Amino acid sequence: MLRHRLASIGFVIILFLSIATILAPWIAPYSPYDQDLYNVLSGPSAAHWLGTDNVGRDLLSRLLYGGRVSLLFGLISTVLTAALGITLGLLAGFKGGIIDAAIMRVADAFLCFPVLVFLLAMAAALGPGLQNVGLSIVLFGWTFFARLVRGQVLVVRELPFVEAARAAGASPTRIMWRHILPNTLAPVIVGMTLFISIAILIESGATFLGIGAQPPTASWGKELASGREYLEQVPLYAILPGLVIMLAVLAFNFLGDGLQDALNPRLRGETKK
Amino acid sequence: MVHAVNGVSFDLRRGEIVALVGESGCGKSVTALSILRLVADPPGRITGGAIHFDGVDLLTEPLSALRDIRGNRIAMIFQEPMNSLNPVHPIGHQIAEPLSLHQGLSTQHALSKAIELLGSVRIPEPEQRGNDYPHQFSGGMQQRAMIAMGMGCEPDIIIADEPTTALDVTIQAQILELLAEQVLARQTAMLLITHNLGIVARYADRVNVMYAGRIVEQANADDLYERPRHPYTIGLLQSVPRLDQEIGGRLIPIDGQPPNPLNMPPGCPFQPRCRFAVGQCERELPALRPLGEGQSVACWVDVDG
Repeated sequence: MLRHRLASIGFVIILFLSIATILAPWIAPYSPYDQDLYNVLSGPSAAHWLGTDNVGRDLLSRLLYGGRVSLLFGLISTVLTAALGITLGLLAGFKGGIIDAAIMRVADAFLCFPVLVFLLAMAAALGPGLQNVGLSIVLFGWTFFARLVRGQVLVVRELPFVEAARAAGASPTRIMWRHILPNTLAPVIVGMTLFISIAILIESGATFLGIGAQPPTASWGKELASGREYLEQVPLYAILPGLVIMLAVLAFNFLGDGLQDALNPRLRGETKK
Repeated sequence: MVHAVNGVSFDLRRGEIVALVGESGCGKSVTALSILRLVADPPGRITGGAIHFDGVDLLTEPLSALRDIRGNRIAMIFQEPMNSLNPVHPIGHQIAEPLSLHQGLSTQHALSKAIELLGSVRIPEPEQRGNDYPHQFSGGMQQRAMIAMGMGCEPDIIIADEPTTALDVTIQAQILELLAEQVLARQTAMLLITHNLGIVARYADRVNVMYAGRIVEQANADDLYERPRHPYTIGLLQSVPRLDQEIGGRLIPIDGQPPNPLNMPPGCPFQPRCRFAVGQCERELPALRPLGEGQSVACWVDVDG
C-alpha cells in the first residue's frame, strides 16, 4: 500500500511538472530571456517570485522553460534508446546464434566503458550540445534495454503460443513483433520510467559540465550550473533547480517502482498488505 | 543421436479420424510436429522420409509455401489451451489472425468471421467474448477458441495433439464431441493424438498404436478392440477399465518401462516387456506385416488377443 501511495505521488509530481512546463508560455510571468538589469540576483520578491539570475532573468520563468528542455530531453532520448535497444534485444533473443553473439558482445563492450568519458569524447568530437548528449545516451543506453528484452525473449519464445502461431502459418517476423514483443514489454515499461530519470540526470550533469544545453537556452542543469557560482550570495538560485531535478528524478523512480509491482503479478499480493 | 520417431507411416483420408495412440514419450507429438515441419531444429532434425499432402511432399516444400499450408490447409490444435493462446491479444483477434494471414481478409472482415466462428463452437455472446483476453476464458472455452481458430480457414487436415488432456473430465467429452462434429460437417480429416484408449474407441475410424517411436499396430478402430494383435496393444487394453468387463476383474499393468531411446534393444523394442517374446524378438526388429482387413502388426509372433 505504501508503495502504491509513493507511485501515486510520483505520478502526480510528474503530471504537475509536465503540465507546468507545457503551459510555460502562458503561465510564466516573463520570457526566459528578458533581462531586468535593475534586479540582478535579487532573491524572491513580489515581481520575481523566485528571484532573478546574474543577468536579471526571472528564475521561475527560467525553470518553467528549462523543464521543457530537460523533461523533453529525458523523454525523447529514452524513447529513442528503448526503440534501438528493444529492436536489437528482440533480434538477439529471437534469432540466436551469431546475430545474438554479435549484438551482445557489442553490448558488453559498451558496458565496460565509462559513460562520462564517452560523453566528453563525443562532445570533443562532435561539439557540445544537447543533441550530442542525447546521441551518447542512445549509443550507451540501448544495451540496458537490449539485455532486458533479450532475457524476456529467451523465455517467451519457448512458450506454446509461439509454436501455435508458427503452426498457424505466421512468418518469423510476424511471430517476433506481434507474438513475442508484446509479452516482453512489462519490464521494459518499468525500465523506461527509470531511464527517463537517468537521462534527466545525465542532461543536468552534462550541462553542468558545459557540454549540454548551450546558453542562452534554459535547462534545469544550466540553472544549477549558473546558480552554483552565486551560492553564497543567493543560495536559492542553485538550490531551486537542484530541488526540481531531485523531485523529477524521485518521482520517476517512485512511478517505476510502483509500475514494477503492478506489472509483476508475483509481487502484486505482497504490496497489497 | 536419438531417433525419436522412426519408420512411422500412415494414411489420412478426407472425412476420416485417424488416431495415434501410445504412452508418453513414444513419439506421437514429434510425429505430429513433423507433418508441419515444426520440430525445433536444432536440436531436432528430420533425416528422411516423405510426407505427401495433396500431391506435394511437405518435407521438400520451400518454407514460404509451407507457411501457406500451416494453419490454412493443415491446422493444429495443441495440448494446453491456456498456454497456446497469446495472453496479450484478445481472443477474437487471435482467431482472426490466420484468416487475414491466409485468406487476405481485412481486419474488420476477419474479426466478424472470428465472432461467427466463436459462435459455431458454442461460446455464448461471441460479440462480447471476442474482446476477452485468454485469461478471462475457462480451460474448456480456451480449447473451443483454439478449435475455432483451427477451423477458421476450413483446413483439409486438423491435427489435434491431445486436445483434452489438460481439461476436466466433464469438459473432455464436450470438446471431443465438438471436434468430431466440426470434422464431419466440413469433411475434414483429423489426426487425433492421444494416450486415452477410451477416446479412440468412441471417435476414431482407424488407429495407429505407437511404441518407442514406431507404429506397432494399425487397424480399424472396431477391429483393434475386438482383436488386438500386438502384445503391446493387448497390454494397453487390459490395463484400462472397460464397461463391459466383469465386475471384480483386475486390471493388468504392463511390467517394466519403455526402452531408453539412447539405448534401444537390437530386436523388437517391446521384447523386454513382452509376455509372448520368442528368441527371434531379441535379435531382429519386426516390420509391419498385413493381416488383412486393413490390420497390420509389427510382431514376429501370431498373437490372438
